[in-house]
Amino acid sequence: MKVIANINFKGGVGKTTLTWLLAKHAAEKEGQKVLVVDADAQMSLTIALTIDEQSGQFVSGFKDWYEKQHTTKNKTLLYALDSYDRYANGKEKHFDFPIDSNFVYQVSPKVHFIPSVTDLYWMELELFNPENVRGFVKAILGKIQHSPYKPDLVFFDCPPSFTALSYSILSNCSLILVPTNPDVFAATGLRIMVEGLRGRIQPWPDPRIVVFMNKAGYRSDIGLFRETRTFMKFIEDAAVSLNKQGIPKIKFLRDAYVPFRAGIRKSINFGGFPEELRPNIKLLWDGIKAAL
Amino acid sequence: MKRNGLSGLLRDLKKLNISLETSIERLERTLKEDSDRGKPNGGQIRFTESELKAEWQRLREENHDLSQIEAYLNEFVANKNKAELSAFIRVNELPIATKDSRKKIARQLAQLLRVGATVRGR
Repeated sequence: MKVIANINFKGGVGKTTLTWLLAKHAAEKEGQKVLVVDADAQMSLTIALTIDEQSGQFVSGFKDWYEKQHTTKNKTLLYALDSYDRYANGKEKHFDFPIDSNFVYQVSPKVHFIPSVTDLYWMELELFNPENVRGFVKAILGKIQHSPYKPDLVFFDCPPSFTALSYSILSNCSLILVPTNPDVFAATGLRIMVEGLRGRIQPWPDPRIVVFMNKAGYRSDIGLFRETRTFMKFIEDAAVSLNKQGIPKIKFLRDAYVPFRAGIRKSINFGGFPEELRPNIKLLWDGIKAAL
Repeated sequence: MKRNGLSGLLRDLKKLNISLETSIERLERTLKEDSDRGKPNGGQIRFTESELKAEWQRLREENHDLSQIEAYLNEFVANKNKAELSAFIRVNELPIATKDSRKKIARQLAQLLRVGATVRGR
């Protein structure tokens, strides 16, 4: 089981959309069993996959499950984290949190999903000591691995910040995926984040870090825009510079960019996939697979 | 009366001739200056593609004093003829218009290097 954490401390770089597209591609085209986890209290992925934009309501099947099973029965990510925290604090003997259909939602036979809850943000701030819950993701993934779901791949859509949950995810994943954009803020985010994680994630320099350009300026008749190419050079320079600073496992996927498409965010609603981006997602997935 | 009129016309024509000659001389001088400026080798490109790429890489990697970078790049740009500058921009796929003035190209290069330094960190 490989675990991919999609993160950039700069918001709006497209990590939620890309988390879904990569997971769906791996499931549909590569036959992988995937589990997608929305670890962001902003719930962007949960909303994108389950909200009917016209009515503003959850799609019917998910709504029933979310309200009658997931939240009512205290089977959310927050309760799992809380349960682990109690175990880590010695208040309980075992980390007793069953992995069942109240916790995991089935999107399709090959795709399962653990949604987020907004309370995660506030509760996490108030309750959890990051050091205590660092082992949470390892423990929950261990349970998932021995459950009927048994995914080949787990994708975490991380919040654009360093929370107790993201600390646990980044400390226990196989690969950190960093989408960036052709603008100075998103591009600078790579260095700021990696330098910041360096002192916090143990063991370091694990895991591997893969960087790629999302929202690339591209037109089929002229190819990549010059501005995008220049930013790609700068990001490559940043990766080389980080390599020299003792972060050897960072790789920039130069050819695996994803072009900017207006309305791409809407195209993943209800689990959709913009087919015009399939070749780019395939190339990106191939690059990630090679790095895993 | 007729004689006086012709003399006046001749005088005017001579004045016109002098001012035409002056204008022609001035134009020729300007054209020559333009042609000489920045074309140490008559507009030929003295660098290979890989040399121009290496030059852009060197510019990105050098730890310039960013407050002085524009002056440095003005000199960098002045040492290249227009064809070489265009090739430098084209080969490195820089988001700069080749028809821009040297000063503007230097300014845009400085801007790019500042952004690059921020992204890479230094």
